[in-house]
Amino acid sequence: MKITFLLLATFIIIFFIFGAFALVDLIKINIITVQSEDKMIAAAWSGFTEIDLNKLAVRKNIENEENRDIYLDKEKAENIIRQYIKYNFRLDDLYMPKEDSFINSKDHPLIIEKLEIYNPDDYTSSTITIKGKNINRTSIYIYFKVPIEFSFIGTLYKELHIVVDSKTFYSTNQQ
Amino acid sequence: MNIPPSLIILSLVVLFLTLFFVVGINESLPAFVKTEYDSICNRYFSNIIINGGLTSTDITNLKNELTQLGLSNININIFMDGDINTPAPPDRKIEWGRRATLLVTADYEYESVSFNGGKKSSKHTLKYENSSTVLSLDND
Repeated sequence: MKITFLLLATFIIIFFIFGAFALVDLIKINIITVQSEDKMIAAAWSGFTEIDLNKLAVRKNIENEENRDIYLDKEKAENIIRQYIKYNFRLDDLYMPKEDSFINSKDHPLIIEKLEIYNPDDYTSSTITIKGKNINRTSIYIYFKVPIEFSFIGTLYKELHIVVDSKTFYSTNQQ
Repeated sequence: MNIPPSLIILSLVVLFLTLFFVVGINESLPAFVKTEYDSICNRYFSNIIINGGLTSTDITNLKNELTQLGLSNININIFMDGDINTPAPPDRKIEWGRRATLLVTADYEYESVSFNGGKKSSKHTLKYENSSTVLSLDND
């Protein structure tokens, strides 16, 4: 009988200790997620300065401000976005977090799984859907994974998706 | 003295439940403020990118919002080209395509429960920094 109570007491102690650590980790996930999305959206925004001037010269809809077509130079836009990602997240050239990075796992890289730039001829020639939303403006989509170090279990990756378009921006995230 | 095992377990439950809430409150308070702080700063950062900077009124409003959040010692820096020694021109005059950075630091002081039963004063310095290129054509 006493052993049963002892085991129960041990279980309760362990449960609450791990519960406290789990709570701290949940808060950590929330803070790193919000910061990561903000910084990635800012980085994606930088791509909108890399306009494809050749296409701009012959584009249609130029007078309609609301529906004006914007074509981005995909290669240049991706290069500048990657520069800003490294700067905003404080990453080295291998995307490893530097000492002053807000990412708490310093020995795992940030992973960019997808960096897609959609110009008007992409979304008019075929339907592009990201996270249930149709792309109907010039958009930049980034799917990335942020390393987060947890108590006891080490580093896990949080998957995040952001979409920035030429008018508004929104983000979605996936656990 | 023979203490019933159920009483020991009850005491442990109460003790660890209390500990759980103390840790929870201690950790949650700054986290909630930090999330709100990031959200406010990010709104003004978006203004910088869309409008080419902030006016002095915008900066005062930002300071007021952060003060209302309970923050003190607020420092706001807007600089260009990733160099803190190159301050942005005032009144939304950053040119299109220039790199703009918003750096905000502020202190958050709050009282929390210490493990010896008393109160302790804790201070966190919050930092917001974000960078992008200005997308406004109105200020060239």
